[in-house]
Amino acid sequence: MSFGEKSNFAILVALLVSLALYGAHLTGFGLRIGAFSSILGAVIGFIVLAVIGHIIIAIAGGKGSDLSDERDRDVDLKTDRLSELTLTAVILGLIAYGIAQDDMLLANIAFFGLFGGALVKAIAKLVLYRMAA
Amino acid sequence: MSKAKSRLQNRVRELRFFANEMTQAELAEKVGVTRQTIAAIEKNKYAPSLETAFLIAEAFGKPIGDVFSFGPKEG
Repeated sequence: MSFGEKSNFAILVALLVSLALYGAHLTGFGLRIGAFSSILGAVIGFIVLAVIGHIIIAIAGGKGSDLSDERDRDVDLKTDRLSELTLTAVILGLIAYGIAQDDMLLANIAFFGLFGGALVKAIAKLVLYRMAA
Repeated sequence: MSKAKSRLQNRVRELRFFANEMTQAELAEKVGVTRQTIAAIEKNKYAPSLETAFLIAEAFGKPIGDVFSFGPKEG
């Protein structure tokens, strides 16, 4: 198993544990109840678990165990597209929810987030195409 | 869902054998990729970049055409 795969496992476990703990914390309260400290705790917990996982992988793998190559980048590109689609679907849902609840602040933030992201991507592509032209 | 077989063929496994049974790890180190990538190339599960293909050929001291070939179109 390559470092990229092991790293992915570490992140997957860290995500599942963080999501499970945060989900359990919300159980009984509902999605409308929450605090900044709880979200911060989940984010910090995820980062700490991911770092510990990567330290274990590095120690167990020995020298050169963190090598990544073009295949890892290829896998990253393909999976990034899937992640982008998921995020887009969630943001479209947020826009729809904001409009339905007459919460235009939420809808507008989601809208500008979505279009802002697309704008950054378009500009980055423009630069990269020009660089390769 | 069936995946179309790649038309890119290679003789990496065979050439490793004739290079004193060079291991996948040794070839990976020479080329600068992971051992898993060499394994994936040998099984035709991954098509390497042109640069990596040239580096693999260089590791065997062969022209790229002796290591990689492009098969005929099926059907």
